Formats: sequence, structure tokens, C-alpha cells
Amino acid sequence: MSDRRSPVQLEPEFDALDLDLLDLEPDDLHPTIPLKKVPAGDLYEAARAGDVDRLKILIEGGANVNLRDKWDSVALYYACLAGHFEAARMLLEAGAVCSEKTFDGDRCHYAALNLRLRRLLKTYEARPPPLAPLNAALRDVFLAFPGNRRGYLEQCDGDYSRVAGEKTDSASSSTLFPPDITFYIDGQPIEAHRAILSARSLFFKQKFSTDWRNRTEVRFSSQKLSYRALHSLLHFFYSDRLEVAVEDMPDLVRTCKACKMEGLQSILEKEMVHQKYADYKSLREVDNSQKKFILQGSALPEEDRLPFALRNILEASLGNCENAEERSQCDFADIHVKVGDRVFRCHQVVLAARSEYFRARLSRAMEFLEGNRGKEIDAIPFLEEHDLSSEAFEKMLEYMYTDGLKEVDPDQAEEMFDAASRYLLFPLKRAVADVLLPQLEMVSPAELCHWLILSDMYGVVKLREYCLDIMACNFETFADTPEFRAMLLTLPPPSGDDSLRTTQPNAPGTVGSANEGNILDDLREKWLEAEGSELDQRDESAALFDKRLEMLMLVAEKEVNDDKDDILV
Amino acid sequence: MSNQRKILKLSRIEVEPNYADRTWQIIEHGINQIFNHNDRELSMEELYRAAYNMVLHRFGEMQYNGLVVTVTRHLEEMRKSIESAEGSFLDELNRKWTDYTESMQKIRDILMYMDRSYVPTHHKTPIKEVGLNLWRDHIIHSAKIQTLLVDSLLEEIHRERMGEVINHGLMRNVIKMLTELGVYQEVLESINAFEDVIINSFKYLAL
Repeated sequence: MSDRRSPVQLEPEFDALDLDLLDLEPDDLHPTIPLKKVPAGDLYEAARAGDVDRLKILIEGGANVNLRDKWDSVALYYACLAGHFEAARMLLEAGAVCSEKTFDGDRCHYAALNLRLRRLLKTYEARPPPLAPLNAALRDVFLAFPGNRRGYLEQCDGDYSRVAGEKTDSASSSTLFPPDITFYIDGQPIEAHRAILSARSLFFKQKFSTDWRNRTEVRFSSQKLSYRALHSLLHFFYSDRLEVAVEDMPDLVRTCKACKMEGLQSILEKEMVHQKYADYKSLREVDNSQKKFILQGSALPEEDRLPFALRNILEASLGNCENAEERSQCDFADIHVKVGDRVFRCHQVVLAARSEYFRARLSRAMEFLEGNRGKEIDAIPFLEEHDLSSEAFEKMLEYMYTDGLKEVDPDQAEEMFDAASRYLLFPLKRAVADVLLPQLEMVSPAELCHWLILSDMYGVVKLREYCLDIMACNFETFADTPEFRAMLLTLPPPSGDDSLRTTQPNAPGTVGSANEGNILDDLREKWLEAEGSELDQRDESAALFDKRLEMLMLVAEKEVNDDKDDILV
Repeated sequence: MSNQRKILKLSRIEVEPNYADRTWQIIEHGINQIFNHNDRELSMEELYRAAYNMVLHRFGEMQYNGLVVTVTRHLEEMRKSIESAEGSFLDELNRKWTDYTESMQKIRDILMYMDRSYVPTHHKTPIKEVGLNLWRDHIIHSAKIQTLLVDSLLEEIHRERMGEVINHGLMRNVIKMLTELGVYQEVLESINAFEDVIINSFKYLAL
């Protein structure tokens, strides 16, 4: 063990972001032999081959990066073993475990081909797993306020690396959503949104509907409350991740008590007892780092987590659609969205955090034609969306607030894909596909063709892969289906370029086709894989496949003409 | 029942023959109105929806090229108006620049779907950058404007040296524009005399 780790310990002050400072020529970072593409490979093959395009598709499709294969290895292990830096980084970014204390993580460290990879692993080792999209989006909103960000950076105490990476994302999306309440403690501001706070804590909810009803700022002067403790708590409200310096924990416990957060309070109290005796083994090696306690939302019971809390306020405001006037103080809704003949009461902060489209709509609320309406200052802003059913919109809201979908009717799926694209809520596509896939096991070939076209149009990677796999494995069944033949006519032709074909693309050094996403190319690739042709016969097999396609297209054309004749007769 | 569903699906995928042209006309009209400050009469939701559907039906390229052509046309108009500015040249340039960036922001919001899906997959330049590039190529690189710009800046500096009060805010905005466009050095290097003095004064002003 100690032998294995010595190269890392030689330079204990290694900075996480200094990967580039390694004494390497730029050329050293690229493999001398061009990488081989594995367009149909699974996670392990893609990781071993360093095929980042394939890896990206698989990760986007929701592959579990911590799963082991039949050799008991995780994908990260292969990427490390083969020395694929970029592939390893992608896997780590997607949440692959690399802690040295775990079986999988230890193997990765052991297998890492070079120092650069080992340092990469080390960088990610201390890093908490990535947040779910909902939590990450709300956290960005919270940290977008300069005051809040400063507070966070101070607590990180020089550990800028984590924040620096995230900063670029939120900076590009410019103005995030303005707060509606500001707290001042020791003269330092913390900005927040009523909707979120009252969803997370009964205490805040009561305060906001009584004492603080019409206030936009609240000043605390009590000695019991510390800025850092409240900042930690609010950060937890937004992101479901509690980060608190050990020395601030007693303060935080007091704050929890004042805010009646019993669940969190008891967890913290237990942890404090534990801390007394805990020896900070893991942190002793790290310089300049405060002792910190980090609590992940996933460690909490479900009813204490963020999605559950937001589901509650969503249900409350949907239930309030009728007698909106008197209830407006209970659900803190601050926006009305009219879809079809229904008016939804929503929260600007959630819509803006989740969808760039709504962010733009809301920030331009006073411009364009839509701005002409809201003349009364106190009235809740009002948006209208056309060309979408209220049912689909409701489903989309469910996803926006909770990051999940309970059920989707296959009839509704297309509209959901449409909504996901239109409102730039791309992860929703995968969520729909996840719910949908089990329902597609028994569908007819004809219907599968429609799903393929749909998933291609809306870019639903997972569904598209699923359809193509089934078609490749049951090609002859599909060839007998008129709908499949009809579909062939509507698709762009497969690329006839020989250099892209069969043995060629698998030869090392072939760059993926620029014209990516051609359905028939992908189908051919999968078919070849399924047929398991020997490598030296792939050219012939591919030619065979192309002939077969051509023939089917001819049949299809004839069928179309026959149909026309029938109509004429 | 399954048959009905299929018909519904296909109807969304197939489009009428002149769909693209018609939709583009709506969007182009929108862009023109934004440049003419008539956006109060436009519905953002409607324009966004039209632009989104157009890209979804794989007319992203048409939309992208159309955008470049339309913006270029407006820039030509602006160039003429800046060149023949009656009052202060810098004032007019600054006013047009502010207008232009605001309009481009709005246009970007309307064409956001293209910016988020078509642009990255086809390795195109994002709309914001296209806007800056076009302004640089058509306004700043116009020979007449460039001469006027350098002369005006020098004149302002000269006036301040002579003890007059000049509009620092205006100067700062113009310099900021030049840095944002990445032509700051380039424009300055066209002045040979006083170069160091000027760079120093600019830096002082830009702070």
C-alpha cells in the first residue's frame, strides 16, 4: 500500500488545478497511435478504447459509471489502465468513485498508467459526487448573488478549485433570478427566495406569512446567530448539501433549533459527539484546509430532501389554481403561466433556475408585447404559452420541481420531448425515456419505427439507441414490415463513402464521420456488431447490408406507387 | 387507436413545402422590428416558438445564414448613419453600439434554441460572437469610421490636456467596446505618433 502511494506523497503540495504544470510536452499528452473508435461498444469498451464520443453518448444515456463488468472492473479502471486521460475525466465528472479506500477506487489508483492520471484521480478523490440537475441549478441561483458567493468562498478558504469550475457555467447565463428577501447578520447580507425557504422549513413559512410578510429585508442582531451558520443552512436549503466547518457546528445546531429543523439538528448533534473523538486521518495530509463536515442530501430521509419539499409547494400551488386571491400568501407563487385554458401558479425562481428560456422570458417581462399587459405593479406577472397541452406542461412542471417523473403515458411522450427541447430542459428527455422504455418492450415493429424517428428528431439518445439495437438484432422481422420500408424512404441515405465503412472505421486512426447521426449508418454499424461477422468479412457483410437496404427501398418505392394507383383507381 | 396516434405523429414531422420560407419571414420581420425599436408589437413567445420549430425541422442552417444576412443589412444602415453623424462622432458611435448590443441580446433570446442546439452540434460561432464579429467587420473596419475614431479619440485626449472637461463616461464606453471586440491594439497601432502616451492615457481612462 505505502509503496503504491509513494509517487503521490512525494509532492504533497500538489494543487488540484495544476495538471498543466506537469513537466510534459504538449505532444506527450496525446497518444502516439490514434485512438480506435468503438461506435457500438459498451461503457467498458469505450473506456478502454478512449472513445470519448461513444462514452459521451453512453453517459448521456444514463449509464451507471460505477457498475462492474464480468471481470469485476469498473469503466474507470480500464480508462486508467489504458491511460486515457480525457475518458477518465469524463467518467469522474459523471460521478465515478475513485476513493482509495474503496475496492474500485483502489484498483484505479493502482492501475493508473502515469502520474498525470494518478493526479487526476487524486483531484477527484476529495470531491463530493456531482449534484442532481435540480440541486445544481438552485445552488447556482443561490451562489449567483455576489454576497452569497463571497460567503461561500470565504468558507472554502482558498479552495477555489471547486467553485472556479462551476463559475464559468453560471457566468455565461448572465443574470440569474433576483432574490425577494435579504437577511443581514453582522452587517453581511445573505440573499434568498421565500419560495425555497418556506418549502424547506415550517419556521420560515410561518414567519413569511406573518411577521415578515411584507418585508424585503430582515436584520438579525442576536448574538446566537452567526453569519456562517445561516449561510451553511441556506446553502443546504438550495442544494441539499450541507457544508460546514467543524468549528461552526455548535452555531449551526443553535440555528437549527431556532428554525425548528429537528431532523438536521439531531444529525448534527450526533456528529458533534463523534467529532470529539474523531481523528482527522483523511484531512491531516491536506494543508490549509479547514476541518469540514459535509452532509449529502441522499443521507437524509426522503421527506427531508429538496425534491420532496418542492413537490409539496408545487402541489400546493397547483391545488390553488381556483381561488388564487386569498391563498396567494400560502404558496408564495409569484408567476402565473397560462397554458391552454389552465392557469398554473408557479415560482419564478424554479422556472428561471431550470430553464434558460423562462429566465429570458422573465427577465424580459417588461419588454416585447407581453410587457404591455402587466401595468398594475402589484399584480403577479403573467405568461402565456401556446401550442402545448396543459397536461404536458403539468408533467414538465413536475420534472422542474422534483427532478423526476412518476409516470408518462406513451401518447404523451412526444409532447414531452417537444416541451423538453422547446424549454431547453434537455435532461427531461432522458427522464421521459427512462419511464418510457419499460413500456416499449412489447410494441410492434411499426411503432418502434415511429419511436426511432421521434427520438432522432428530438435527440433522445437513449431511446434512439434502444430502437436501433432492436432493429439490428431483428433486422429480417423489420424488413418484412411495410412501415419500416416506408421509413427507409424518408431517411437521409447512408453515407456511401468507402473510407467510413467496416474494417476502415475500426482501423486505428479513423476519425469519426463529420456527418454524425445518420440513422442508417448507425443501423449498419449495429447490424454488423449483432451479426458478429469476423473482422475480415466485415467489408462483404457491409456491402451485403447496403444491397439489402437498396432492395428494401425499391420495394418501398413500389409500394408507394401501388398505393397511389389504388387511390386513383 | 394505434393508427390514429401514428397519423398524429407524422403530422408533426411533415411540413408544408413553403414552411421554412414562411417561418423565416416571420422571424426576419421580428429581427427588423427589434432593430427599429418596435419590439413592443412583437410577441416573444410566438417568435421563439417559430424559431424553435424551424430548427427542430432541420432548417437551422437557413436560420443561421438568414440571421447573418439580416444583421449585416442593418449594420450597413448604421454605418451610413454613423459616418454622416451631424453632432459628435463618438456620441453617435456609442449610441449605436449600445442599441446594437441590446438588440442582439433580444435576438439571441429569441433564437436561443438555435444557439443551444444547432450552433454547438454544427460547430458554428455562437450568436453573441457573431454579433461582435459583424460589428467589427462592418463598422470598426470601415476605413472612414476608423479614421474618424482615431482622430476623435486623439482630439478628446488633446482637449483634456488643454484643461477642458471631457466626457469620461463616453470615452470609457468606446474603449470598452474596442477591448470587447479585440481590436483595441489594432486600432491603436494605426497611430504611430504618441503611441505610448496614448496607450497610457487609455489605460488610465479605462480603469
